[in-house]
Amino acid sequence: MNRKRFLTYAFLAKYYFGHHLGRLLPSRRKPGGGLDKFLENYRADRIQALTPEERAALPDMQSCVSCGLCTSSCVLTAPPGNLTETPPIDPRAVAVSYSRAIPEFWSLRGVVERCKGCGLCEEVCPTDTPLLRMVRFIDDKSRESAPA
Amino acid sequence: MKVRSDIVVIGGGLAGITAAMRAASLGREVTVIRKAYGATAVGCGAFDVLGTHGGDLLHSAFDLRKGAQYAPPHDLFRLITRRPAHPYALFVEQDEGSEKAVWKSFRPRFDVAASFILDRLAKAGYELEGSAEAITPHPTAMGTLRWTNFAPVSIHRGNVNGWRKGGVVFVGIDGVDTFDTAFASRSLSALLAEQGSADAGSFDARTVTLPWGRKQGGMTPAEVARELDDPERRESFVAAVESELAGQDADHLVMAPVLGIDSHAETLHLLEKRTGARVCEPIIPAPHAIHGLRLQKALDRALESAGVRLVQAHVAGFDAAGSVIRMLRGEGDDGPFEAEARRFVLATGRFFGGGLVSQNGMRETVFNLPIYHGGRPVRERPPFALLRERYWSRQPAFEAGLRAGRDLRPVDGTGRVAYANLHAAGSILGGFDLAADGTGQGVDALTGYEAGSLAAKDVQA
Ligand SMILES: Cc1cc2nc3c(=O)[nH]c(=O)nc-3n(C[C@H](O)[C@H](O)[C@H](O)COP(=O)(O)OP(=O)(O)OC[C@H]3O[C@@H](n4cnc5c(N)ncnc54)[C@H](O)[C@@H]3O)c2cc1C
Repeated sequence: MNRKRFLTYAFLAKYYFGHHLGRLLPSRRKPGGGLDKFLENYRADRIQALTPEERAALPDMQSCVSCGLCTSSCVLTAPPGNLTETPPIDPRAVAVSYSRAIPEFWSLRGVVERCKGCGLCEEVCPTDTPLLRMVRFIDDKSRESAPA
Repeated sequence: MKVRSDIVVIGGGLAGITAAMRAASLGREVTVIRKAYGATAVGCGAFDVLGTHGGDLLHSAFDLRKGAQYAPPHDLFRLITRRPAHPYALFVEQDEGSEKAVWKSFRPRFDVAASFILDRLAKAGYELEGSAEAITPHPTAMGTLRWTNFAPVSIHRGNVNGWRKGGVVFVGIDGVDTFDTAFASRSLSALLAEQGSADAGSFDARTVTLPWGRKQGGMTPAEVARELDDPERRESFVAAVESELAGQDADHLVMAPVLGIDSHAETLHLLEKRTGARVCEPIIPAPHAIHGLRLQKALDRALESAGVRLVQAHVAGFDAAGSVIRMLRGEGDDGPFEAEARRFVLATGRFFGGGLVSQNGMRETVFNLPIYHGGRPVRERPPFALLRERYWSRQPAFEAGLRAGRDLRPVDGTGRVAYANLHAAGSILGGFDLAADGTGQGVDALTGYEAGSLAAKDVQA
């Protein structure tokens, strides 16, 4: 092993062990320290942290193929109609926008707020997309990310 | 929840419901278990028996426009020669070898199955017209022509072969932008002129504004169709069309295909009565067309009148003793679910319905049965062997499915019957491409009817 390689490994080892030992000690996080700076940098982009449960649910939420069957079962468009008073609602919009970015969820607020949670959309969905869970997810995330 | 019946059908699309109603008509107690809607609910409404193709088979739409003859005996013979694993091949006496003999053995069996399901659908308010012997051209929402054997009345009234000389008007709805009437009318008039139908008449496009329509943000076709199920909305819509067409030379109306979901026929008849024109809807060649949804809902109504129980649940496992399935297990609306029966019919469709999945290789989802293509299980081959680079080539991935003999019992990896009390029906069966071969719903009706008959007979035995 040449000298350069040895120094490289030593450097990595120092930080590897230092990091893990440090984690055993009580948190020494300083306000305004590294993590806060990191989060601050991304605040303008409205990027948010996901919990492990949320992350585990992502693949299911992305299974929409945009077939549109949910649109015809959504109770919010059922007669006697209220077309003139209401903005369009389309459960598919919820599912499709999910595959867009969380920072843009706030644009769906008008839709998810009106969802009554009846679940008829999920009953007909061929790809088992968890639409109700997505509505709740979008509702949560968009509260944090809405522009002032 | 626990269900017991003579026969349990898994899947509630065209194939499963046909099988269930057939078994019920023979006096059996039947339950259908369904997790959701499938391919049947997004179809475009065309009921193809031996339809048109983009590929290597019978007629392309182009050939037919150029006046090629539609000859079912010849076409069926070619089909089963080139697709020996096509489910139709299970319904013909092949040793007879001649086109005429093959057709003669197929036709009566198909007719019995088709008239069974078409009759049930008509009683449920969804009438189809057409014939296995003929193929007719109907306008699409793009202004092209789509040939098919059977079509719901609203589409079949657009059979351009039957158009008298006169004015054709495409009528769209302000705010529903999936039907570009100006574009469609230009395309269709050019197409018919090229074909030499000089007497096609004049073509025009109009847009009606719905007094109760949404002013901003547009409307989905499903929204408008649901509104038109309501008699008052229907009346005001028809009045709007009438006034838009005042003074117009209109013998044929091609209406935005949103005339209703449960009672579109009433809107159609009211329009005809009030305008004096012959009214049709175009075929929408892409999902999701309201036509498929209407078909699915009519099937559901027919199932209910046949006294078949429909359970919403996702079948996820089963118990078997040797080669006999005892029970299905799954997840229902209100918790775990079990279903016992003496015979089972698997009609879970393909990728869209949920019968097959393609994740780390293709597999069948309920019984883990092997998927076949070209006489061999696809697991034996690398995944890329199932795909072709050229779009229009035959795609093995879309022809793969269960393999079964004449008794419609799916086979295991060694080619032997997998379970003595399991039949399969519909698109879960392999050997054909349901989008490209032009035989999709024909296979569902034929194999669904047969699976229902076989399962019912077994229960008796
Ligand atoms: C976009 C499109 C257009 C088409 N156009 C045409 C056409 O123009 N002409 C034509 O003839 N054919 C057409 N076809 C083909 C035709 O629609 C299909 O062949 C037919 O609908 C298949 O019916 P099926 O009953 O086999 O399956 P599906 O209708 O898919 O039904 C499968 C059923 O099984 C259920 N299911 C699946 N897994 C489970 C489970 N584990 N537990 C419980 N239930 C389960 C599903 O929820 C569903 O109810 C088209 C297909 C598509 C996708």
